Amino acid sequence: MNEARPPAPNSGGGEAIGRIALLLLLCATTAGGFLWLPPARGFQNPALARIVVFHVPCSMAAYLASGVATWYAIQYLRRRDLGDDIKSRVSFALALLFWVLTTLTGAIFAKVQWGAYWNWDIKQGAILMLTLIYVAYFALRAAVADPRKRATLAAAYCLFAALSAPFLTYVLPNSTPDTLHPKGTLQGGLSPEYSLTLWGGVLGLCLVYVWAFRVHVAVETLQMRLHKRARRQRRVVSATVWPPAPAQN
Amino acid sequence: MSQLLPLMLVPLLVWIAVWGYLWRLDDKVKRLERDLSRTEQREDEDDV
Repeated sequence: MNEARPPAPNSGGGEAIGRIALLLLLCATTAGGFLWLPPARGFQNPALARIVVFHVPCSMAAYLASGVATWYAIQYLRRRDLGDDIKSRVSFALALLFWVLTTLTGAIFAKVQWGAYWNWDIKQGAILMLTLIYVAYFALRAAVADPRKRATLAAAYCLFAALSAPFLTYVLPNSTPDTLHPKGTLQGGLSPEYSLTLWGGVLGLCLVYVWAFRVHVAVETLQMRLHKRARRQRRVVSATVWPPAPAQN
Repeated sequence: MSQLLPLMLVPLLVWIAVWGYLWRLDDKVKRLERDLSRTEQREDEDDV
């Protein structure tokens, strides 16, 4: 088995600056979204429609996490390296988290624009289905005990789930005019202030994803190494006490 | 705008909490990685 290696550590000073810059970017986009942006025209509640600068970045980060999970699932199916399975699972869990955040921010958006948190709009139904598909991935993993079999099944399921994401969140809602969800918001429908804040939010959330991904992969890899080490020590102990002492009568 | 100020504190606090959690976890993981590598190296040397 190829052992997954943690990502190489960066230099301390540069890394600390990067982390602080990320926090500043997140705070700046939040403050920009609340204090700098003008009320959004064309919405029922123009002041609160500014939540779009939080809602869209969540879905972008979810797409990125799904893409990375799929990439490592394909890598696992090609190389059968359990390190790829760890990366795929961690990224899939983060994708689920971002899809849930997209749903929650979307529900707040729906409340202020359409009067109810849940309207059974086609996009809301589709994202609910998608979230359930993602939850089922973890149920599948929990149902299989053998690590190799579990990783293979999870990788195959991950491909199916990731392929369903663009279909359910983009193709299906855009194939019908019967939806409350605005269409083409990002294709030239935003003012420069909104574009700047929104893409700043996308960058910030994607960097949070990258950081969380690296840290959690490192945690899982450490656990795997500790587990292997404990098994090795158990083997050494059982070898030293073998053969057992004869029974004394 | 004054109504939005308290509302803004919610995402700000969430960001700071997430950021602090990731920072602490990252440092802890790196320290554990160094300790484990050192221990494994020592064990390998003992085996030799």
